[in-house]
Amino acid sequence: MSSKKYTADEADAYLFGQMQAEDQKAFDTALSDDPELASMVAQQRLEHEAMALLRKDDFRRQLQTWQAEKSAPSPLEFDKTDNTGTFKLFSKSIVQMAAAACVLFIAGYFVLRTLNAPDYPQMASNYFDQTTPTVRGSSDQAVAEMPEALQQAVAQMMSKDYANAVRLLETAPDAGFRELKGLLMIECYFHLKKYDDALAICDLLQQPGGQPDTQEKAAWYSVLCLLGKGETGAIFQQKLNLIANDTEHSFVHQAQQLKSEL
Amino acid sequence: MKATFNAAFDVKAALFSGDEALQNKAYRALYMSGKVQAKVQDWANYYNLRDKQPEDVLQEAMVLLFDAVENSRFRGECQVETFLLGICKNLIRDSGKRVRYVVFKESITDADLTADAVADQLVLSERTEEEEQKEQALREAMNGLTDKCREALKKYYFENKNMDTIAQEAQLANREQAKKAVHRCRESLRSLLSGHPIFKNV
Repeated sequence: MSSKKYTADEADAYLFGQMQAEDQKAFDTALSDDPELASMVAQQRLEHEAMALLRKDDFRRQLQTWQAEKSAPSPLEFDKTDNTGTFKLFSKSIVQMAAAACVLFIAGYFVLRTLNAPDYPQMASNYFDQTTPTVRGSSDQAVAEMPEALQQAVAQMMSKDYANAVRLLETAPDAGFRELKGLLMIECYFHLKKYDDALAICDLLQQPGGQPDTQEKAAWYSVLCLLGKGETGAIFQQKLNLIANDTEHSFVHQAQQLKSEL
Repeated sequence: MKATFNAAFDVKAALFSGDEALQNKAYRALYMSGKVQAKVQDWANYYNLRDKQPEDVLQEAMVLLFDAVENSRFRGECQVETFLLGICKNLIRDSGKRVRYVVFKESITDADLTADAVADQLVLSERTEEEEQKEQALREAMNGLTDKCREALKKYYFENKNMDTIAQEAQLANREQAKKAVHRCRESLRSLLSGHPIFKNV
């Protein structure tokens, strides 16, 4: 029987596959000789399995988000009720007529939409202004708790010099404040009408591993950025619905209100 | 901080980079790939897939790819997209199977195999009733943890974060506090697991 008493950290190293080959061999031997160690490893293995499952579930949720991002598939590409390819039986002329009708319909739709379109950038801006204090924390204390570089950027943002604020934020160190820095950059890009840059950061902040409340803020900001861009199509609707239908989401009320306005 | 993809983005390198953000980009690129989607649709038509949608197959295949990468069952022996398509084809052919994991029958030496060839090289291990019950029990135990604990443990187990980084991100005073927090969370998890009837003998 092995005389060495292994610690929980060593058992972790074994389960994480971080042991040197020699140590691992010795550990394997001890494992078969020492029931106490075997029991500890079995317990820790179960914890690892639980965590692996949690990670897999996180990944599944991420897939759902990406699925929502995919634009609504065309019935010709993804026929949900018929996978047999019966479309091929349609005659060419019918397809051409249908295509022409679609083009006319879409053109008419866009002409009408342009004439009647609400002022989306203004609407997005109004919601953004309502939301900013919740996201950034408007009190002096909230600002005082930020690192100096971010405080300077916020000062520039208060005086509406967003371009300068972006420059300060770009050079500010990430240490411990990466998510806050990202949210502030989104705010600046939004006001500078650089919606694509803002959306790129929203995507990054919604990746797995981030703080849930930051992910919610980034999700809401991405809705507003799309609205600011005037992109109110399928992706926008899916993102908005995800928030409006999630009663535990921090921005559910704003999302529901926006939905009713649209 | 721009999240852009370009033609030079190497999915395989990103997937095995150990960098979570890059891995995420790679998975996203695969999932959003029009080529993958079209191929899955083709097979769905060819095999007359009825009981699920092609996008469900793709999601299931993505989870199996994720699992294969995490557990080193796939080490980049062939193109990642080809591997993913190989899984999809198998899932469509055996659409009733509840798959636990996927593994190569034998070692692959040709990195440029086609998706059809890879599909024939894969074995889909089926999930037993017992394993499903165990997963359910693990989920129930995990649900007993607080959000903070789940986040701290995720950082500890999967993000290779040291205690200093965990302390910084959780806004704790120092690494000692982070270590204590992780320890407390592990204790909670242990007690939740051992309190579950399925695991009482562990």
